Amino acid sequence: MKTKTINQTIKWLAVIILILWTLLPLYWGLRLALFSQVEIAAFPPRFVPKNPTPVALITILGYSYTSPTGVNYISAGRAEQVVRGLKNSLLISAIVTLITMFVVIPLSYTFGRLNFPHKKKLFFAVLFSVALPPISIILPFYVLYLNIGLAGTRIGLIIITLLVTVPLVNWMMIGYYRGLPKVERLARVDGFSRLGTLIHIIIPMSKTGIMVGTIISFLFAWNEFTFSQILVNGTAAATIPPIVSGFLFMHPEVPSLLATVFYSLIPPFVVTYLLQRHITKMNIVETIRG
Amino acid sequence: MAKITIQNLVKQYDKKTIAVKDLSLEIQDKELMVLLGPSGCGKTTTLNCIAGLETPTTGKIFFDDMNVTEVAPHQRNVAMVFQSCLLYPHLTGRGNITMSLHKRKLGKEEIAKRVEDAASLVNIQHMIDKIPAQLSGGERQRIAIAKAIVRDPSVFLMDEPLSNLDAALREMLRAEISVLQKRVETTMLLVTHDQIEAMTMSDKIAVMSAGELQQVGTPDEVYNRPANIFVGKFIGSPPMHLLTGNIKKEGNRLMFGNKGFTITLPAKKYSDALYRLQGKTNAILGVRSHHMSISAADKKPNSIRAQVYAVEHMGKENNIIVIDEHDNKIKIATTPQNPFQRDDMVWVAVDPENIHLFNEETGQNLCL
Repeated sequence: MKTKTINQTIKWLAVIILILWTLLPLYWGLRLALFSQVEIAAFPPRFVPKNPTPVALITILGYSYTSPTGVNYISAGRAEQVVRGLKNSLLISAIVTLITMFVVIPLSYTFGRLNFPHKKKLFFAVLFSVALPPISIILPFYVLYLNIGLAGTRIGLIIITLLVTVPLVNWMMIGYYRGLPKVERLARVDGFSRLGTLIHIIIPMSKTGIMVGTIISFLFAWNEFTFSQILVNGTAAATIPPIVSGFLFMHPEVPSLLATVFYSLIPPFVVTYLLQRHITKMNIVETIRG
Repeated sequence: MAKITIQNLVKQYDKKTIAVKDLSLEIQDKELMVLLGPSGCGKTTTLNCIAGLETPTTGKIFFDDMNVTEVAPHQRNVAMVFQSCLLYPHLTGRGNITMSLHKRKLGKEEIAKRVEDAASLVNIQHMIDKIPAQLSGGERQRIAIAKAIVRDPSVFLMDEPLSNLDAALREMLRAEISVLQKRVETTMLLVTHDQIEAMTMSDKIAVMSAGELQQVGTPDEVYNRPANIFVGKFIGSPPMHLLTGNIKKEGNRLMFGNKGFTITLPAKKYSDALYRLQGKTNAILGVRSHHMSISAADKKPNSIRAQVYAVEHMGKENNIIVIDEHDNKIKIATTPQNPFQRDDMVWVAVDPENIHLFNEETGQNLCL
């Protein structure tokens, strides 16, 4: 009885620490977005803004704002860049995710469940490309992109981002597919072709894995910084991560910076929230032994 | 409903592994045949070849008069129940059963009706809308059986359908499956390594070992007239006891014996046993534990001298394990009221009418 209470206490303590660990920096940052310029400089720093104001959140999107006291704020200087960056990020991440999943589902299924010549070597090729840090391949790609005119384009960024997401998500999902019950023979007796099995049986069955893969792919595409910084920053194709980092050099605009961060958190949060519901719902799949 | 004919089936995976060696077998229409053998003897491979999941290296498979060797599984109209209660985990029982019909062009109502019928045959109507994870092993296997029945298959194949279930459930489903098979009147081939399952369920048993067919026959035939040592030892529990010795002719009497004992053989039954041994006399005697009796009295005919090693109390009977002069351990079934204790010297009498003699070299039964 006593050990049970202690265990419970430890469990809840861990949960609370984890929540604080995750949410506190988020809160600490986002509250800055609601501070006025004056309040930011206040000492000691405040936990809660005294007069929260949405100035930064509105002006960073390119709108002007008149406060209740009658002060007029014009749109932020970087608004255009930020809005374009958000749109670019959203578009590029969505396309990268779609292509990634379209390629990875059959690819990882094949690696996980079927046998073919040179499977081991090809699998190591996948592992190797997961292990490559982006910075190590950026130089040849930069020269290549300059020569063929892909530098500074969204297509160029999509292609190179796929180099990160495809191997990673593939690697992740190979393990997932290995663990699923071996329903292929069942499907063959039911009259499904190999492709039919994949489309009608495996994909609906592996919803959980596919959702996890989609989230990971979207997050990696959304967070992709190195390639974006070097290949597209400063052009019309720039995505939000290098734009946010650009703010770091502009001292007086802390609320704008944090407002941008706030907006850049929304899409991954929404995607994760929408997809994770399928994950918990389908988790029972794993409890069945193959 | 079809008769299955397998002609000279060979399945070779690579140069070294031959799973099935030249197997020929006939399964009559509406018959329940059990393919019995230890694991790795090629029985599941044979089943997969019949299902169409694997292509034979050589040999032919016929359903009635149609050669189906190269035909895809669903076109053969086979239904299969797999080991480990294999179902689509993301679909409900109903979804799983319906999947069997997806290649058929049937109306929605017709499908619903057939699914209902199949479900009621195995009593799963009330759990048909649950997904496999919410069902017990036995319930899952019932769904799998319903999924197979709904197709109205010409051949019903089962790959160790009961091996993942607990003992009580296994016993119950054993009878249910054979009753069901008689009711739907479908040819059924069931693969198992469990000889009790084979004995209790089947019309006929085909015993396999190391890729080769050992014997085909009714449960009675394979039990009472095993074709060779392997069949004799594999079927029956406790397994048949084997003793090596020689066959001798003394006058008109035919004797089997070694240093410690001799047994007079029924002359008629073994009249050409010596002829079959082709000049040699080495043979192996096989006898089941309930065809031996134990006594403390002086030497009787057909008896072996032995010492009691252990007594096992089983309730309705006692098993006595004795050790003979050659250090063979022999288990004998007796009544619970026996006076014997560890280390007692006893005589074990063998019933000569219920013994089997095998050729020592080939293992073949000498009177078949």
